[in-house]
Amino acid sequence: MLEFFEALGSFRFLQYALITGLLASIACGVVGSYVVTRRISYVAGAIAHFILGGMGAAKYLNIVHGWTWLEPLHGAIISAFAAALIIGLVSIKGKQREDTIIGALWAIGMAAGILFISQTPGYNEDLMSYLFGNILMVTTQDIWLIAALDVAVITIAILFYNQLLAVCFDEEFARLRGINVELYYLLLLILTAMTVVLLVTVVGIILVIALMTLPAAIAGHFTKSLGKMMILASGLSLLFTTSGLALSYGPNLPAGATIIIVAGVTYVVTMIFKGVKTRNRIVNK
Amino acid sequence: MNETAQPIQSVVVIENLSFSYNGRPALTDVTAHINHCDFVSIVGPNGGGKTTLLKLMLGLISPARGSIKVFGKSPVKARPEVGYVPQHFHFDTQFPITVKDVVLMGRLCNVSCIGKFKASDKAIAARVLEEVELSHIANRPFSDLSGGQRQRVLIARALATEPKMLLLDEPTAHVDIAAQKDLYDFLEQLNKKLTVVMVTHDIGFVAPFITSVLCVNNTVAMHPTRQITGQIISELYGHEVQFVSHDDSACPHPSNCEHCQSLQREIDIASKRDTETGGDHA
Repeated sequence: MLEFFEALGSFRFLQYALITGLLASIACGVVGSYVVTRRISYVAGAIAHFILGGMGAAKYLNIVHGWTWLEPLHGAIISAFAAALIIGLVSIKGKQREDTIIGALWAIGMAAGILFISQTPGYNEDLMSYLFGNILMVTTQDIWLIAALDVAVITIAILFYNQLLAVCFDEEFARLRGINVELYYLLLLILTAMTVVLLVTVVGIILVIALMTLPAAIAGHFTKSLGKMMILASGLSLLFTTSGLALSYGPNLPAGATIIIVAGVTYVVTMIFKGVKTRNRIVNK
Repeated sequence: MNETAQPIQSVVVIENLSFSYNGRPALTDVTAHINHCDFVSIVGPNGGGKTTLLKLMLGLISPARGSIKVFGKSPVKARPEVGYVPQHFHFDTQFPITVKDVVLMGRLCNVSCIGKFKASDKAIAARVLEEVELSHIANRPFSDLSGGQRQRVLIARALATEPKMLLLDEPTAHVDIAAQKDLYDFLEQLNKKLTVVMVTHDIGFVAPFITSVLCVNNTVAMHPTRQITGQIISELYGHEVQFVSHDDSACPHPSNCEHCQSLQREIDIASKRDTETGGDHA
């Protein structure tokens, strides 16, 4: 842990990793709280896995067809939006079972990504970094893009807080108040997609769901309003990314996986603590 | 209450309305009307179409045939004037939201009020919380409340929309008897200013302040309520009771209206207990 803080002063990649963690944590806490309370973490999972297709395609076009301006992160953004729109429209039109579409997107995205990567000359290390994150390889350009996404997510989430809260809590009543429930649900999915992209740079495609839901789930136990849940979840997310990064640095562990383990252990401990407390309360009654 | 010859303002007018779910008829050829400041109870067996009727009044579904007008408009256009109180136990008990925030939801609008709520909206929310006597728990989580309290919060939320008509879906379900009494007393107070329409699962004897009962079982029969004069029945049930009279209103389904039958049974039982026959039921 100590080596990390000593190294932090001298290595730019560590500073970038820390900044990325900070930026991603804010969006993560805010949108993660919506995702947890609206119970759409599997939608977030599908979007995350669908992203592999976009990243793979971007990398393929970049290397094979010389589209050098197209980075995997761009592919991730485009495919995340596409997945959010498909799931949203299916849910609104209601003609298909939503969970079937979620499962299909999940697998199709992965399959497409693996096909593209297999046809791209170069190192297969790319695949691993997409799947499990590459927070130590974030570039200056990535940081700017991440910061822009972050600002967009937070602005939308705060501006439409009351409407999104109503749609999450009681969709029917929101509709009766003249709120365009479908449009706000779509907006929520787009926010989720943007946040997933942010988090993919930190922990990778496979681990995204955990980082998106665990801080919010822990925060939900200790807060009584959605706004406070968001603030606490953001703080916890920052704590997990930073401590995970610091813990992984010395023994040279994968940062993404370490972050998730820290979050997971905290979640389990909180659950046990909460369970004991509730039982005591019942006994005392 | 409104049976005198005052000029009556129709709040809900339903004419020859039919509705079916994928070919299965839920409501057939319904004609009914609700007047200003009526207190209407919608009763009937499960699956009889009570909820369908409620959804039609809210414009959540549209009739296949016939028409429904609320305040002279289509139900969708009339939504701002209608306060809806859903069933309280359908909510996610883990949702982190305070009582105050639930009530403020009544002040929402689509996009013209993005960002924070205005001070005037907060004042309205505080006022209606006062009205339902829950100001002291405004900052408590909604999930911590009892069934009766949650129901009152949802009524406050509906009142925050400043409605002319209140629609309640089984407000007394999962609420203990004492809280039910309070709830009815409160609704009776509200009824002085606005029209109240509530779906009730099974209320046995209809409460004294109800002006009419809509018996829904695919078809709809509207009954004015009449007071029973039996002293013993009043004592037996602790308060004044009324019952539905079928003698002068042509009930299209007297043989299959379960609610009417169960009411009749209860009245019969009460009558047997009392040697004097209770009331004027034919």
